[in-house]
Amino acid sequence: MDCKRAIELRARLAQLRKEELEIEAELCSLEMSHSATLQPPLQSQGSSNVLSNEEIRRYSRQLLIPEVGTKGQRRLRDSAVLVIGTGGLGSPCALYLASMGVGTLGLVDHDTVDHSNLHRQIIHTEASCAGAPKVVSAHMGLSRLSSLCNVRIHNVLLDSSNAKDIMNGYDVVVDATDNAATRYLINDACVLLGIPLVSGSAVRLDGQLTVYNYNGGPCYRCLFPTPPPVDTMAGCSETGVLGVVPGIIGCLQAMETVKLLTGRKMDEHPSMLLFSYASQPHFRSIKLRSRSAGCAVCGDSPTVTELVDYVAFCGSGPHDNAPSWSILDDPAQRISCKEFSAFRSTTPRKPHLLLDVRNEVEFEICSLPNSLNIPLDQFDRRQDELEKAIGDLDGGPVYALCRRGNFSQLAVRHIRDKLGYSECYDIARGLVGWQEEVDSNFPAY
Amino acid sequence: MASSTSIETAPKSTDTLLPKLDFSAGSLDLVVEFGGGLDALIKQELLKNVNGAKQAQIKFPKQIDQHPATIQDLIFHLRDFYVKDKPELFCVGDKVRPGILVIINEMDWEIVEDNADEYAYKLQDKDHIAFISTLHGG
Repeated sequence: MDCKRAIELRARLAQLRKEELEIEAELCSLEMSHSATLQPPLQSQGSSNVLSNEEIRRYSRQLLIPEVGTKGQRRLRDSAVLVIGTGGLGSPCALYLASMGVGTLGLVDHDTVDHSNLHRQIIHTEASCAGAPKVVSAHMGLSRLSSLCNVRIHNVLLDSSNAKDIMNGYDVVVDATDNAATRYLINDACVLLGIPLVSGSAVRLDGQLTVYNYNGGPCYRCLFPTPPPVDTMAGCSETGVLGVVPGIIGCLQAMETVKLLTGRKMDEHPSMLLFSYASQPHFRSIKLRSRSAGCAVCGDSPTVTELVDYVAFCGSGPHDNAPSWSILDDPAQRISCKEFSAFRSTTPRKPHLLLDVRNEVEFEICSLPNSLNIPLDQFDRRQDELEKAIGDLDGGPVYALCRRGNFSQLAVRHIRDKLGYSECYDIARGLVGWQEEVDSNFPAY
Repeated sequence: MASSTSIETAPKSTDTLLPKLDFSAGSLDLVVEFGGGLDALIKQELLKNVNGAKQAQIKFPKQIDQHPATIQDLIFHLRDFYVKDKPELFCVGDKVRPGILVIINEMDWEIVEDNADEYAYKLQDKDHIAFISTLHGG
């Protein structure tokens, strides 16, 4: 009986959560289409010089700190902060800003919630993984937390055409994005609009935090005038990230925002905070240069006076996290996942070698049966093993496999050119393709 | 970026990886650190894991070609002997590649004293020099 009741209650909760999201989505679209009447304009708050009883009760523990006090708390309430990106950094940052009493929060994101986000993007929930826009999901997280925070959402990809309109009027902008092109875009827009920028980033086990464009300090371009080469811009989807690492940086972004809003950042020298999971101590602060007089955007004679094409500037954009390379010119050297599946199904099975060239960590996550794992970067060190496996084939084919069909092309080239074995083919689109084209039960990561 | 294999102590054969340096004018003990994933570019046998930071402890000549050794000399040395196989991910031409921040004794090298040209910085004994790659993910 109890057991049955528990099942009923769980089902009811799931249903309610689904309904809550639907209501939230409808409210969001109403607020967006009638923003003039349903949302007060930025910087129109601050009518009241006192805190209400409700505010005093709610923020009492924070009011007791002289660094905030009633004056600071009113500043937070009367301020507007734009958080760009509601992912691993933006989730905790937005939650803390709302909980600490920032009056107006803007959110920008163009993405939808995916299961692979949940280990770090803690504002989102399982219910949102059925395709909810991240800003709607985040709106729900914030409205559950506080009815005192006015949340304005922008379900768009930030680019040169809309950035200044969206950012104009905010007191602080938080860069919680995941790619170089958007970071330069946000920096330049902040300089042009005169808004301080709280910038955070995190990959794997490391994080970085800097406040740019504030009080004579540098902007992002002062430090990094030239974008890095495209193949050094690793993102979380390729290299991984420990969930709590962007969480730590996102929380610190919320703290720096509070310092800026309450005027406590004034006395600090510009610095960059480096965090690392592995190092002892975990945090190091590096003293940074001041604004650079020769900077292209914030310098004395700027050459960038309007927003430019940042995807062209950086050579890659917000969508380029999973590249698709074309290394093998001859299409005969590549076969599709479907073709390989048909080949594997023929009986009796022809002798062949399925060579998985991903690193060991990825191979452990999932692999096709009867595949040999030799990571591409170990080909030289394990050449004997590789040559023996090929020698055992009696001239049969080698099929190289990886996650997306990129590195496997390099493997085919290596085996053909360096080892001189021409019966070697690439499985195009790799395991991603296998999951989509052949076996939907194969895990995707 | 690359495997996170950490090598605690430098094994025997590092002599063959490094050139013979001329210490007749004296030497400098330097600690060079690679962060933000840059350690993956460096020959692992030349790195030590010191409290989680990937460091190379380098005995460097006090003078090179009769001039006090500069950080430019060190950068060439690192590019030619420490970087594994993709020097373009560390240097573009003579300069450190875009996106790498150079930190001398916990300070952005642009603001190290008397340092109008950061590449001309004269190395000092016990200097701690860090090369940190900027991160973009989130």
